[in-house]
Amino acid sequence: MIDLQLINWPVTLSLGLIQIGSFLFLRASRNLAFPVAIMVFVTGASLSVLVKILIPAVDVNVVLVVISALVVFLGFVWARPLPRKSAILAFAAGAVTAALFVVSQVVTRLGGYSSIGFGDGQTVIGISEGLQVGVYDRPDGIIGLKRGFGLPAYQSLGFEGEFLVGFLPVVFLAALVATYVLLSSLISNKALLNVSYSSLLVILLSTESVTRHVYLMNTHSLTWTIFAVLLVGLLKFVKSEQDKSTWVMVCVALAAGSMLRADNLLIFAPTLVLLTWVARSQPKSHRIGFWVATFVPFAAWATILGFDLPILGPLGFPVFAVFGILVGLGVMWLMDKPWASDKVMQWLAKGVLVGTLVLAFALSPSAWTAIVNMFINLFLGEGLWGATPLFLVLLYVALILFDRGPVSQQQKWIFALVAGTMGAMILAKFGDGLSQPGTLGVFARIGWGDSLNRMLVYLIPGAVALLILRAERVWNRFDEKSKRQVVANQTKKRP
Amino acid sequence: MRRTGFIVSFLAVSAAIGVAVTSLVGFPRDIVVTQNMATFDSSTIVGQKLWNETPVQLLYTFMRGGTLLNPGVPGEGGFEFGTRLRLAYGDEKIGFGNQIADVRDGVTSDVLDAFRSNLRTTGYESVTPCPHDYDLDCEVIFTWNRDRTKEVGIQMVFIRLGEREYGVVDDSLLGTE
Repeated sequence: MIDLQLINWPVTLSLGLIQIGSFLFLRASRNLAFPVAIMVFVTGASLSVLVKILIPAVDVNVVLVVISALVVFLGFVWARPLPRKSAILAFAAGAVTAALFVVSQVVTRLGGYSSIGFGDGQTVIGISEGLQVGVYDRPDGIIGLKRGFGLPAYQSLGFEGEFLVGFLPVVFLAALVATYVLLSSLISNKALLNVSYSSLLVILLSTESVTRHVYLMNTHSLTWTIFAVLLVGLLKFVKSEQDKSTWVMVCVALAAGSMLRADNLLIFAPTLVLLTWVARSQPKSHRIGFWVATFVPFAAWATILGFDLPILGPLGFPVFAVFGILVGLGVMWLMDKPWASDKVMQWLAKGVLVGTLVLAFALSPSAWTAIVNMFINLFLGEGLWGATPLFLVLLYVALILFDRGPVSQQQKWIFALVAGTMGAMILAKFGDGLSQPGTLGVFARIGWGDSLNRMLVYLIPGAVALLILRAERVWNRFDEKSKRQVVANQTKKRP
Repeated sequence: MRRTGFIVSFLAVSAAIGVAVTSLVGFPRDIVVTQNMATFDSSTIVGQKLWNETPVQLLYTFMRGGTLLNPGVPGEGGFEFGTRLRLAYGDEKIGFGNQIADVRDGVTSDVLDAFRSNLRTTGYESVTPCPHDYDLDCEVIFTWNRDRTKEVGIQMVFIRLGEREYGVVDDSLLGTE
């Protein structure tokens, strides 16, 4: 039996409270409240740890519970006037999420499950151990920026000497839920949605490179969740369905990504630009809010942890954040020009992928090797993706062959985001490769341990969204055909 | 509508099960998660290396510039994963010609115990089907002289250390023993 003292009650309470607040903020799209609560928790936990570093005397759990209570308070203010039923539902959501985390802790402890392998996980739990006592033990070189802050920060909320047991599976669940919500926002056919999602779950959970993320000490499942939520937001802006809660949700997702690690700024860049464009009916302050949410959290943790930039010293990252926001203003100014259009923006995003590949081939003799490595990882099994990529590619091609009609705006935006993000991911890893002697800028290695191979889970929401939109068109086509046949048969039978 | 729904559902679920079975049976699988951890204490985990990974993934991660000596021919006394290594290293960087070297020959048990103990100190330990009988599980200790991590062409030698104990170690460690 599990000892109740081994349940982390302060974090459980905090997560439950944040879930209540998130539910109140997102009453219009309640299913997203759970993934968003996880992001708010990570951001809140990171803030609490920053406070602990600045004021060592404070109790980090108290700060976290105060932040969580504040989220609930703001949620109630936001949701006014609140029907009693909604309030009860919000508390029920909080209780369910807290219970989920308790179950995850119990299962994890009983099974003794974890996945700390390779260097990254060890560095993360090493940093989180220091953060527990308010000390940031900085790894050598740029490793500190690469491993980032958000993950070791929230992991430091575990019991003394431990990391936060049982939280990673909850994040993985949030990724699955966010993906479901994304798909449900794309198609109205419930039967197709449920069948597609169930089939997808079977496929994903039998793919080792996906299931490894249940316990992997890394930021991947959370970034997967973030991308799913950002896609939901982006498509809402495209359809002009947005309300203020969509804006809050997108800002929370961007801030959580920024808290996690430095290279997320690059990886989120195409999404950030696309969001700024599709939200152009929003007030300018809201659009620049996306840039603030992206740059300020990163600058805050990098500065407080003592990172600096050449010449600018400790002011380096605050200046960098201001520069980033100014770039955002510049981008918005450019978007007001007559040449800016949906088509141009979509091509720009796709251009990131093409441009990155051109750059890699121009600068690195190992670019082709990297492409071959990616192929081996994805299709020959060494990246532990099993038959999944091959099946998904074949299915997508088959669906295109069944229905060659023009693609919808939604498909175009999703494709642009996926291509742009893939380009940014390759660019980030290409830079990594160039910074390491002897690798000749190779951006993909063979094996599960390759960063790019593991980061591919970020693209799962976009990839399955593209598939399901194609599938819906084929479904509708067959459905219409079958209806026509029924009508024709009935007409024939008539005397 | 109902007919289309039924057909599509049947096809989707069948395809998903087919893909899942193919992934689980027909493609390489390593280790999803470390189980039965005695503690979640960060220092203990790092200090005692409480995690599992397969030798293949360890080689890919830490020894991508290396040469592999004597993993043996799969099915003929060699490691089951030997053919997978061909994709990453190519035939020119794997010496399939010889059997796995049995270091127990001509060494006293004290010397062998001390050697094993040295390897464990810095090594990653994992479990994989025994080269001599794939129905059995064997322990593989994977280690190398950390000063040579970035060395291009470092030679990793596959050795047998005990009845169900194998090693993948760099040749400098063998040379000094």
